[in-house]
Amino acid sequence: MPTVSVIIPTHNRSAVLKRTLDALAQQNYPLSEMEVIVAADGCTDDTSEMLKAYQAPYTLKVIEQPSQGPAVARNQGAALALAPLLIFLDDDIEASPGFVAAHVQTHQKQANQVVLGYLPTILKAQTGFFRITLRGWWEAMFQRMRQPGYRFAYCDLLSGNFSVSADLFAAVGKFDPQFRCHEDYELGMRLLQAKAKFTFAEAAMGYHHELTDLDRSLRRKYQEGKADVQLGQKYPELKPTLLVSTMIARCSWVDRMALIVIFKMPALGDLLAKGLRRSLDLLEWMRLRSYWRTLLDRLLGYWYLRGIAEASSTQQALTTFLQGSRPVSSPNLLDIEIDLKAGLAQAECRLEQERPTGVRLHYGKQIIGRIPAIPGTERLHAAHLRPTLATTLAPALIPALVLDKAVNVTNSSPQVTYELPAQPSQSPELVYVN
Amino acid sequence: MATAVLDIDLKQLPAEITNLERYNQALVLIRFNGKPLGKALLPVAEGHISGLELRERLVNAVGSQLWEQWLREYLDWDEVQSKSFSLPLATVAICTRDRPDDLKRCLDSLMQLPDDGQEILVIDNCPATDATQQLVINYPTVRYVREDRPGLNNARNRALREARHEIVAFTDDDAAPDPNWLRSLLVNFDDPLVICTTGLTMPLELETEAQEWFETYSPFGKGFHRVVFESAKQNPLATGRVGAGANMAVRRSLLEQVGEFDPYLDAGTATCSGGDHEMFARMLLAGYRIVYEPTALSWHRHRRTWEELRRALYGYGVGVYAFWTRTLLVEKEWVMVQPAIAWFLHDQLPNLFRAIFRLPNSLPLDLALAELQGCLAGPKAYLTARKQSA
Repeated sequence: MPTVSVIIPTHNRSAVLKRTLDALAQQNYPLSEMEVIVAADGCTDDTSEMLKAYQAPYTLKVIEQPSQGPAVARNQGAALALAPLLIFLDDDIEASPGFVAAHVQTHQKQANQVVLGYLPTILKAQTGFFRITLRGWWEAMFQRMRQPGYRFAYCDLLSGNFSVSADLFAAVGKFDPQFRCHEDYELGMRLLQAKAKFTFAEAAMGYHHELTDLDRSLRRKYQEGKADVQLGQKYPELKPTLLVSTMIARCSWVDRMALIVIFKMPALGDLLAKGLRRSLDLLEWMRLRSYWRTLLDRLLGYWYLRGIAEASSTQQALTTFLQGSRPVSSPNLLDIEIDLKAGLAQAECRLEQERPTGVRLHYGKQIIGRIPAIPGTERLHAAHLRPTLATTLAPALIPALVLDKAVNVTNSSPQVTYELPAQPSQSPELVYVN
Repeated sequence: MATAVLDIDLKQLPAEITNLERYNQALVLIRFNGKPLGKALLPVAEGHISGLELRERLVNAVGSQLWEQWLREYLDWDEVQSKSFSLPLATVAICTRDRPDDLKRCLDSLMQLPDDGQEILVIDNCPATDATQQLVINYPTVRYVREDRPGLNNARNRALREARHEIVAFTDDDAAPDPNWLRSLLVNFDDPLVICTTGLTMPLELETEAQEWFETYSPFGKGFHRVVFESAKQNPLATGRVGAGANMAVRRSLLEQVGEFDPYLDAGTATCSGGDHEMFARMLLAGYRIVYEPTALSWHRHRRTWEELRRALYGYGVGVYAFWTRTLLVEKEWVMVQPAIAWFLHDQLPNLFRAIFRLPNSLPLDLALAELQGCLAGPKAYLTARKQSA
């Protein structure tokens, strides 16, 4: 019986897939306990022949399906898996030797986890400003997960490199085949609802051979726009977290013009966008970084809104869609109360046991504030407490502690006293941006 | 009169400071449980500072930061230190040329670093005597390497190639790093985009007028707040606030990812300085980040005589404009024109104006002129340096 199943969906990338399989053959995890399942999705190249001829030192299973997208392919792969732990890996990722072992070991520390691996990006196909920007996007995604006390969100789940127990994966109901893009975010949402704990494991590392270029990134943004509408329809509470909500709320004249063009005369808009795309190259040639960056952001925003418009047909429909984002019931009801005077360790213990969506904190009679419920993020646990107290809640916590303990920060008397802020800071109310 | 340089921890405040008869003021580095939090300039009356005044002034100087730091200790939490990141191994490199007395102080300081498996490397750059080599023999854990091509950047490149570890931390020979210096630099490398970290440099002594002027006019220290530099947020060519090569650590992979230090720039060549700042700019242009980490503390002995100071400022002028010349010629970044003009209009020209009319806090005219002369000589110096090496 294998102890771990690695599931790889693939589509017409025989040579790239072979490199991925080769890297799995170099794992320092016992290969006899590993099975690798390749789900070939509508492959028309020599993937099938390559897999038949491939001499794998581990159990290699292959399923072929007509083109149905990666979500279905991953589900098919998972259905065939025999191991209690599933690692989902993309076909363009070259796993480091300790990759499988790192996933397994992280799961051993705690149950009910989703382990997110690290994907340093190899950029050989790209040059210039785009290469720098792309690397920045990728690394920013992982860098935020490295911060102590980071509160994971549904959009941190990248299907390229994560692992989950087969039981949990089945319990939340696998990937939703309705989603052709952001199917990973959608699964992330259901895993968070199931109170799964997301963990970033740096050592679960694989080199991601990124092949996308600027034009593919723009097209991808269009797909993401469409997917965001789908996500918002399925989970209305996520609407405020979607990029479209921020763009509409920002309400700059460029955005407004863009929306009118997108809904009323998309052909003209596309023509303009294609023209501006050409001028990106000119700006790069002139080394005008900040203008290049601004224009790229605008173009990405345009194609994203095009995707949004495609999925919501009229501007009126979009407005209705966004207005429907107010939560039906107040999530504050699930908040708990914690008195920090009873000690930090006890507070952390309660967070760990109760896993609330939000928490109201006080110190004796002093109100400190709250760590609010945020839609689409994981429930609170022990690691979230101290970073929030040290940063956003510090202005309220310091005077409370000082009043209580009559703190002396320096070694000799008389005491150095802390001056209370003129206006006692109020606990911020939970506000939804519409 | 001179300025006393003191290093005081708020957790161990002395009852009184005496024996300061030689000084009329004191520059204090303020720490809280070892962590540098700020600095303060205090008057010295009749050779002593009372404990009461000391505490009041120091506490006022750090302000709310003191309480934030106190809270962090209460919570046992720190943004940087709380990361689950195991420090990479490092090579400490000291590039030196015929200054054995300074080098000895530097090596003695490095011997106080906790042993995290670091390697210490002395790069002896084109020495006139074997004094440096003889000195290093006394330190069995220090490796001696001789680099005969003159120029600080040649020495730095040699250090990168000789280093056995992933990170190379550079200190000048006339600096004395704090025991916690290396760890503080290294902890910032958890972000793969961070290719370089720089630290806080305080003056080792302010015994002469030249040293006091240097500290007032162009201090190495860039404040007590951690800053992350990247080209998306700052102009990558305005690197004045990033820090200095006297106190920095880089990834050795710099050689492949950004390129080597330009051998035609910096001390030992016609361009006198600018090699570190040019590298900072290239790092940022390539999309990497630089972190200024104020807890990575080092003490620098400024030049003691007026003539040395004048030459140093002249050299800074040459270096900055040589760096911009290189950026234009080699990197073809014509956008360097903007900071070059801005620096001249908003910094140099007002300085000169103030110096001429002897406005309060103005620079002595000979120093202002020296820097300006350097600026004008900078472009030609870069071309000369290239020609001399060719």
